Amino acid sequence: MDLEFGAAYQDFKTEVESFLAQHWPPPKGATREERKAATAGFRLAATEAGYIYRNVPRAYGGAEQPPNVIKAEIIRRAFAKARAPMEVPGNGVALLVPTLLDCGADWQKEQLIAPTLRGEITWCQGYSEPGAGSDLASVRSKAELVDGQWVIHGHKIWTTLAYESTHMFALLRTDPSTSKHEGISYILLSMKQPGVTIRRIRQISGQSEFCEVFLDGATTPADWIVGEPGKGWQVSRSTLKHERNMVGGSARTQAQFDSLVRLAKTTVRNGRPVSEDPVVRSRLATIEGAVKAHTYSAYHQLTKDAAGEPLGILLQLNKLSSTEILKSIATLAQDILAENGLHMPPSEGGTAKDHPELWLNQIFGSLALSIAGGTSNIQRNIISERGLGLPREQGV
Amino acid sequence: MDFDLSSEQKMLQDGLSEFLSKAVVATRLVQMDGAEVDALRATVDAALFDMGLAGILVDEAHGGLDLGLLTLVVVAEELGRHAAPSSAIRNALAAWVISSSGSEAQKTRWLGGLLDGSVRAAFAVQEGDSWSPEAWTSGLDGGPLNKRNVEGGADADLLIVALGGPKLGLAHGAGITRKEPRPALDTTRPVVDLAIAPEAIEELQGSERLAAPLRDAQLALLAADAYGAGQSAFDMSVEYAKTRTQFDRPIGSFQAIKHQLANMALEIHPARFLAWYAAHAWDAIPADVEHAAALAKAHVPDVAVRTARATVEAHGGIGYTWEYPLHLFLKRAMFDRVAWGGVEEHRARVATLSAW
Repeated sequence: MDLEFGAAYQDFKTEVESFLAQHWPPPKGATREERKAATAGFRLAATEAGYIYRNVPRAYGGAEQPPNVIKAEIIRRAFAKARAPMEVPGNGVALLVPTLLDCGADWQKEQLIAPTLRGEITWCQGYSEPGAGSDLASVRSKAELVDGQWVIHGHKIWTTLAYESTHMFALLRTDPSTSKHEGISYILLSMKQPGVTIRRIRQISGQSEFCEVFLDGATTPADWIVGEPGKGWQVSRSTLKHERNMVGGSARTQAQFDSLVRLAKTTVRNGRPVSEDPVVRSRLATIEGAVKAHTYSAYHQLTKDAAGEPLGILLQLNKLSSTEILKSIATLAQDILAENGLHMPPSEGGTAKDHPELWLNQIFGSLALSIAGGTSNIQRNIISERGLGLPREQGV
Repeated sequence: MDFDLSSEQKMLQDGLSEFLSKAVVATRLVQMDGAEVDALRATVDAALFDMGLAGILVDEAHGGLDLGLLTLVVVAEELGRHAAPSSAIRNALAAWVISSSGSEAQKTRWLGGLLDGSVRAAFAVQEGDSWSPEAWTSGLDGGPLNKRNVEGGADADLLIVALGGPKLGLAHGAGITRKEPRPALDTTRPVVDLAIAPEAIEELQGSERLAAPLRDAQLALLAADAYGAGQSAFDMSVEYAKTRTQFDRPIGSFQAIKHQLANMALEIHPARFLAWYAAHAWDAIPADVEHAAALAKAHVPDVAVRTARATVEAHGGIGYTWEYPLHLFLKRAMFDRVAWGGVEEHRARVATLSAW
């Protein structure tokens, strides 16, 4: 066991750090527009240097680096330390690009990947429907080939950031004679057209990132389909796999735990910091046990992955583990906030110092994690069936 | 970055697992009386000492293997996983204590026997209700030292005795009075209260610097043992869910059982790594060892007991019987939870060591 990266990686770490020192941050006092341009320029340079978009070929605007989880971890840590932006956040880079690389036609890769990596095309995920949540294969929204284009009718829901997205990747039924997994296709469409209506959903957090999307005669060209018609379910599986990897990271749980400790140390009750309360100390230590176990599990998976060994059940535990840890952080945070949490946070701006109620965003956001990207109960099915080898429930 | 066992450690683990699964048959172990458990312990120890495992922490100059605590944690995991009675861990720690601080005479007298198993060691630590070195007060200028709950104390040839300071001493022979033993919770690890005459104790020179590392090593080893026991109970429960049928189908096909087992998996699998990390810190990251060992001892036995209790529930009635060996692992984890201080004591230490 050795938690250092070793002499072989020291040169690489130095190289990344000197790259960051040279390219980030943009000069102080930059305007919002200048900062945006600087971020875009930084991402291009970081791609050129091989630090982001590592698994995307050069031809499609990526860095095309051989897989190396150790280097990827060194990059992640160095960028986090420098507070430098990594890949463009969102569904396009995290979910669609890997899917196109796995299953896309050549022209799709050539024309769609590079602008997605630059953030010029942004994607929302058109999966869930009012009648198709955990049972995603019951989607009913349909696409029909009419005069060389797909004509789409249906109703998607929980579509994150639909209002800021230029495009959608959607699961649509293209063969109405079939049900469930057969007859679904993975289709791409523009969100900026008359047949698309978006209604933002107000969430319990007061925010409205999730949307309903009504598709009423929306159209898209016949070749904007990924994979064969009727094979959309299989295509979407690769996307779900990537999504689970994305939300499993242990860096977020450690960062939120550190914030919780700061909250406990800076909140004063009865003239003393709350962190001096023995019950709070015990609860913090209880959470830290789970946080560190989760972190070391990630280190172990990193080690196994680098050695090309299977990760086993640990991989399937990642998302539920994060979700449960963030839940326990939320619970203690609410007790520490007490009456400071009786007001909703400002919708924009404000610092944690002046607005402790900003913690409500974590408290509610941690609940969203138990639903989005495969609910916690679906995770438990996956853990028990794929991880433990228990039989599927009969009739499902 | 390498957060895994080395190939040697994996080989050791496989070898131990293969041996212990034959030597320690849980369904027989539950029926054994004290004498039969002692005989089984002798069988297990014969093999473990033959492999040199008592020398894992001892440097090569003193006849040991010098492999570090993580390797001993692998042994503890496997002993816990098989609910195996053994003196090997106690001897390994005692040999480390003596090789690190004993006089030449003490080393000459004891080390060889501790390494080959002809001398059995036990740790006489607990005073009153405390195991913590900060609370050790026993002095050598008063009446007999009362030490409670000494694992292996009934037939130990050599005691490592916790003294005020905190320091450590050696005791053996006459002058050690064993109190009447009571039925043990964990039949593989009976404990006994002792009274030790001060004149029977030789102080170990320079042992002040060993008190905290000894405590930290014990905490990591108890955490590893608890993980092994909890994982074993969990594995039994998964297998049972696949084979036990009710309503004409395996109970493991019901979501109620599946989700219970998934929740257990979520806690027990990653808990292992806290014990690994604590041991690695003991070996290589001294600044982090106290916190890591306290966190492992606070978290892992807590998870292991919760898991083992849940496996009894998931089994149903059979899990509540003496003849079905699930309770061996529950009781093993319960022992690990108590020895060297309980969950809340170590959580409080985690908080203090973190400067919260």
